[in-house]
Amino acid sequence: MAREYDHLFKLLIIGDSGVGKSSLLLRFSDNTFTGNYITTIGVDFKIRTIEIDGEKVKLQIWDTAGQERFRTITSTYYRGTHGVIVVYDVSSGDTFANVKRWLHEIDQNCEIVNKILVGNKNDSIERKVVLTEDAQRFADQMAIQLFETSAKDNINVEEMFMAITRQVLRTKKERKERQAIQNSDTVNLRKPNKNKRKFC
Amino acid sequence: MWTKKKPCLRIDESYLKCKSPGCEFYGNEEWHGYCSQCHREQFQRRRKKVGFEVQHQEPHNSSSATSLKEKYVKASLPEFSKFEEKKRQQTEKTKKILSGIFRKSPEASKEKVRVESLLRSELREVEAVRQEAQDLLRAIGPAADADVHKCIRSFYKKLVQEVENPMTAIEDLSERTQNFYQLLTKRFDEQAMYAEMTNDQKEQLLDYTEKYAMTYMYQLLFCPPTTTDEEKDLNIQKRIRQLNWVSAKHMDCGINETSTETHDLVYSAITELLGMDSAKAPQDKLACVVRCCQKIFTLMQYCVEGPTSADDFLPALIFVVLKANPARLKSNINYVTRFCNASRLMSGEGGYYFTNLCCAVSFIENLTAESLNMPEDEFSQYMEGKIVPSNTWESALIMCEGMHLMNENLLRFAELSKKSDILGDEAEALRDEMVAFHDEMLQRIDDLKESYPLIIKPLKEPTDLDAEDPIVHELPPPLSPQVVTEKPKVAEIDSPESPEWRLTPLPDPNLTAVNYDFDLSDMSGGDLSTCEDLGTPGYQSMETASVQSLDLNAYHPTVVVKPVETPGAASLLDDPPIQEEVELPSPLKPEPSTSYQGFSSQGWQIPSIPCETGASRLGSDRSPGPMDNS
Repeated sequence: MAREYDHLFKLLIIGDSGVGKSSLLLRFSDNTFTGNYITTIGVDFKIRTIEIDGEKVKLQIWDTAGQERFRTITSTYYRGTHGVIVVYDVSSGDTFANVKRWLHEIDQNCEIVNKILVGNKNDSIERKVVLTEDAQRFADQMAIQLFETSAKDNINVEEMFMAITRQVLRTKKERKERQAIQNSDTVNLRKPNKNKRKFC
Repeated sequence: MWTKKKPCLRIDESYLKCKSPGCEFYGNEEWHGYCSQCHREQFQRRRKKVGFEVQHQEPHNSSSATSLKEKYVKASLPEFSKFEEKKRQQTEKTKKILSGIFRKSPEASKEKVRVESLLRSELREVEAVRQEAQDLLRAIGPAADADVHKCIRSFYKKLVQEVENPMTAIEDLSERTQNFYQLLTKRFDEQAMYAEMTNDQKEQLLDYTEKYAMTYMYQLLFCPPTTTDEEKDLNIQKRIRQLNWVSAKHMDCGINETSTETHDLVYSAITELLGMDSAKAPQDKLACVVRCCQKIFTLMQYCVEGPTSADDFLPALIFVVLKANPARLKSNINYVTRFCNASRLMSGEGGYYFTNLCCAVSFIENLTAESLNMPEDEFSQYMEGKIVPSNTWESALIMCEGMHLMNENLLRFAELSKKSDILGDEAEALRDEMVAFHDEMLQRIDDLKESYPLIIKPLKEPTDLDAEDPIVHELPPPLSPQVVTEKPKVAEIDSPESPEWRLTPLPDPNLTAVNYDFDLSDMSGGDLSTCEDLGTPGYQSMETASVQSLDLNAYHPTVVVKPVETPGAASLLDDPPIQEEVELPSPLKPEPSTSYQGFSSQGWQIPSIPCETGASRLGSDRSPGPMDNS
């Protein structure tokens, strides 16, 4: 089929206010592989198509407001989400402490979803307060992949997005195999959602 | 700063859980506090029950259906909270009122008529939708075109059937619609007639189908009387009105309320959001939301340094929603949620912004003092309208409006002064022109005066004209009568001096009277008989001539000098009376005397006659004039 992409994934980026979610998005969508992304409409609604193992994957990344007061209302964002990127600020202990709550939030809204933990602003050692070891231990405990990135210096951003996309893709393929969905050559967005239980 | 705060906004988890006992999932207000599965089960059960009851009762009409529904609501209520019950009852009330409006008669046929009339009202817009998609429909070929419309028709027939059934819940319609979209997508992929279409075209076609069907059935599906949408609309509207004191500062969204650009952008965002209510197809409504949000993004670029994030965007959107207070907000959101293609809502730009809008609305619904970061009592005071913040958006608006107005007025003034300058210049030019024109005119007048000098003729001119009248000259010579009458007398009178003497001093009233009488007789044709009596034509002519001359004299006393010109005539006139007086035996005497008398009396009795006849006969105004004067 002559589609411009083989898969369309919706990623959600969450985390406390000011941890650099939007910067990560900007870095990812407006940086090196400029030829690949299709449009940038608005600043927090980004679409970019990347290629993984010869398959074109279109990523839609939804930014969310991280303020505490919006916490209870963000549930609608999770509808139809394939992957969630949880961001904290390595120079702020509080944001890291809140990660647990964010993960809980995800569990409340989606049964199965791919998650990734990202410590952003990892560009100055003297300001770093969340040690990599602590973060890694926590990530292992929660069975999540950890990335330490810097949107400012463009460290690890691309890799992080590739990793979550790979995860989502793998999950999708596993599910496909397991359920042996007949029309395997088309991407039906509704199919995976139907299998999930959601309360959004 | 928010991260440091304790999560005080959070509601107890048990509140969020599904209402059905033992269920681990989270409930939703939309589903009466159940999770989706329990809600579905409940719903199915309820329907079965109601359906069963309906079968046992008389064929359902709407009123019995309503009462039935009430019955069932009461029956299945125990597990609902009191709040739910109250709400439900209110809804029933609303429904009753609405059904009273919409269903004048309980008969199903009438219902059908209503549905059809509703649908008919949309026809024009549906046609417009079709016109818009002309290119696409032509591209896919007539077969596919016909097939698509066939699908739409059968879909809407089914849907109308369901709508007519008062037992149908809106969720069913929504589900049916979503199924329709999915089936259509599948059909596009599988049917041969759609094989040549590109994916892009398929998407467009699906989009068109949705638009067409939804525009057509808008009246049936938007805010139907079977839902509580309207009530919710009113609630949120009231809520937003209560919150009108919330400023951008409260929202912490960095909107600078006093700058002009900001204002314009906020206004245009509000306008877009308000436009959502007038759009009919779900995707059109979504497009309005998208445009609104894009405006907000432009706005954020003005107000916030660095990349705009959702951290700034969502508060700004909430602020805009609060200031816009869109009509039927909840109805619109529910309509889009129910009948927009679900895949579009879950992904894509429209979906993203719509999700944000839903969040904004739910934030407004659950807004508390903490969410605005202010003390509880201050919040409640604001809500009750006890205090009015000094720096509200409105006051800022007023200030800005004033500035705006001032600027505009200044501009206008500048324009006006320019215009008045131009006007002054032009007036000056006009004045110069006028002076020049005046001078030129004077000059020309002088020239004309020189070339055609004005000669003021003496006053006697008219009499001169009279005297020079050729008729007077052509009069028979004074001597002709002499031949007829006695020669010696005439000769005597003929002396050059005598006529003048007699004529001028003759103040005798009789004579003048006689003269006038002659004049009258002369002019009035009716008196000809008397003239004939006079006998010879020679006499007549002589008399008339004398009358004329006398006339003149009597008339213009100032021009007494003139008579010299007609000495003959005057003398002739004078002659006969003299003769009569002097020589009694003359054969002519007795007759004229009597006739004179009669004439005079007659003449005086009818003075108006001579004027008219004289004018017409003589062709000159000489004779009537003198008469009036005398």
